[in-house]
Amino acid sequence: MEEDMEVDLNNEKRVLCEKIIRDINAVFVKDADLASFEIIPKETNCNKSPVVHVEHNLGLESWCAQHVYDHAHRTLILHRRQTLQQQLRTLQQQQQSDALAKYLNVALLINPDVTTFWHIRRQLVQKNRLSINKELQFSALVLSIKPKSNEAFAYRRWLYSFQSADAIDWPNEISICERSADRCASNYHAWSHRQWVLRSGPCLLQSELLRTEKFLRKHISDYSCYHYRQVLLARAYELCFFMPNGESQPQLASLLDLLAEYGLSCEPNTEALIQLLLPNMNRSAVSGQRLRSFLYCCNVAAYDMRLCLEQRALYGPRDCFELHRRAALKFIVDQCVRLQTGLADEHYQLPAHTAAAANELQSQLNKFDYGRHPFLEAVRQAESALGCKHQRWCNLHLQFAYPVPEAPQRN
Amino acid sequence: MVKLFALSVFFKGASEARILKTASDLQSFSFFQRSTVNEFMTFASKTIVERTQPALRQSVKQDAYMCHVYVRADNLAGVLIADHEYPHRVAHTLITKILDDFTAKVSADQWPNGTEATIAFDLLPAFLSKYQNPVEADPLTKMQNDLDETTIILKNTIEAVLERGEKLDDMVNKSEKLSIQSKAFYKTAKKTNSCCSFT
Repeated sequence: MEEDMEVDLNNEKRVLCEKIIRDINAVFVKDADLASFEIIPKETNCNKSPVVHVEHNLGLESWCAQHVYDHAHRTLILHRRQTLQQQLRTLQQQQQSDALAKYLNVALLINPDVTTFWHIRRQLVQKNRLSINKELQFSALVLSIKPKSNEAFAYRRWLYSFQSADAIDWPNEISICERSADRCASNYHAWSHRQWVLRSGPCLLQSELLRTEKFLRKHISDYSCYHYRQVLLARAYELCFFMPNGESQPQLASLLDLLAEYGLSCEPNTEALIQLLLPNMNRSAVSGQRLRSFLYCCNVAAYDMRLCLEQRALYGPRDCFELHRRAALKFIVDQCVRLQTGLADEHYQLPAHTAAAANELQSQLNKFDYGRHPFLEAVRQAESALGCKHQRWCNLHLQFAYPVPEAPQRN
Repeated sequence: MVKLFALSVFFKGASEARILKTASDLQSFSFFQRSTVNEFMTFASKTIVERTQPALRQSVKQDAYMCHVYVRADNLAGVLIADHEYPHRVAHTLITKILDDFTAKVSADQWPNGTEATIAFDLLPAFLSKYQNPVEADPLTKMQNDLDETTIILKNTIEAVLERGEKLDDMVNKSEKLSIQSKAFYKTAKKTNSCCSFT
């Protein structure tokens, strides 16, 4: 008797879960532009559908989420346990492919961390049972509830491997990264996905420089964005990037300001700048394009150094400002030394790419005689005023060889 | 994140604070949370105005939010809710400016009985979007150099502002301004201690 009642109750629950999953599926079918999913905190069943759909936003009331997830999870695992033969039979019987998709949707929206389910989706895509565009949309929806979902980003990259680069909406991909990073600070997965876009997509450097500046003015202590900007700068230099109308002066204004700050005056033209920054360079070994890109990138770095100071004045000292300023400074000093010592051949590699290149730069920095170089000597003089912690950093990374006060002896 | 969420103007009456005008930008919250968050922001603003003495400035921290309040000696009060990275000095300068503008547009006799519908003052949304970037406020801060930062009282939670014997949970429960849905939200958020909890 008691057992019967339990079976009844279980049955009732199953029917209810099935109904909710059907309702959610109906929303998916009806609304091709779903923008977000979330779980709405509501502890009791008010005898109406827990599926809420308003203006392309989908909500599920929290009281049923657990039961619905359990049900979907059980169904999917059961399906996986079946042998291939059985799967085929049931498939033929009831067109199970979209039935499966509907459980997958619900399960992954409630719990985006189950790799197995993402894997089932991949299998269905490979069998052509799920459309790539719909899948891109679904993974974006998952990112609306969990902006840090690595699975969703990885799935997107996997989906794009089936498309040609021209067919991909790269700006949209950047917006998704930006939205996810905006929702969740230090969103490693979003920023590394963005680096992937940068590597695989068309040249987005100029727009990315603008967008990241806007972003880091808003998210002042999210270092992920500053780091991405450093990657952008290195990438720009690697690709010999500069703005086509590079001869106009305003583009180098930040660099000139920086020089003025270091107490160096310079005629506002390219030639004078190169003379000042790279006096001992062997001009025949370096192409004009490399030099223009060098000036452009140094200008961006100088701009960032100024930005960090301004931000510091407005918000007070923060690690991000300090670290990013250092990174920009290191970029300028490194590239000056590289070009002058003939380290930079035409095929510039990111310093991190090869340990050997990094070692070589380090040894060149060691040997480098800053005294013979007015710009770097001025930098060396000026930076020493920023405290002994900064001096230690300079000694370590730029080989500025400031005299170090004896460290207190430890016992 | 440097973000302004809400601006509001209150009149602090003898028994309770009266909301005269408010504007909010809740785009960064997920869709179904927005109405709840809005209710809580109004609730928190009102509560804090009621617990602040005239001619006093306070900045109250609650979770990731900062609630800046200034009640003038004539009982007109301004509240600005921002995230904790928004510069405090700028926030208070902005409140002063809003209250000055408000006084210039709305005569004092309308304050004690005004409602959001009857008060004609439409500048809040413009302020809200313009000053999302605190750099915009630079000329303002220069103008009002007399704002002495040391006069701003810092409080670490809303609880610290409440009078003796008052409990935030009870107030949330008793409040008629909060919907059942928002109360449920408050309870769940408190239980899971999630990042979206507001008060």
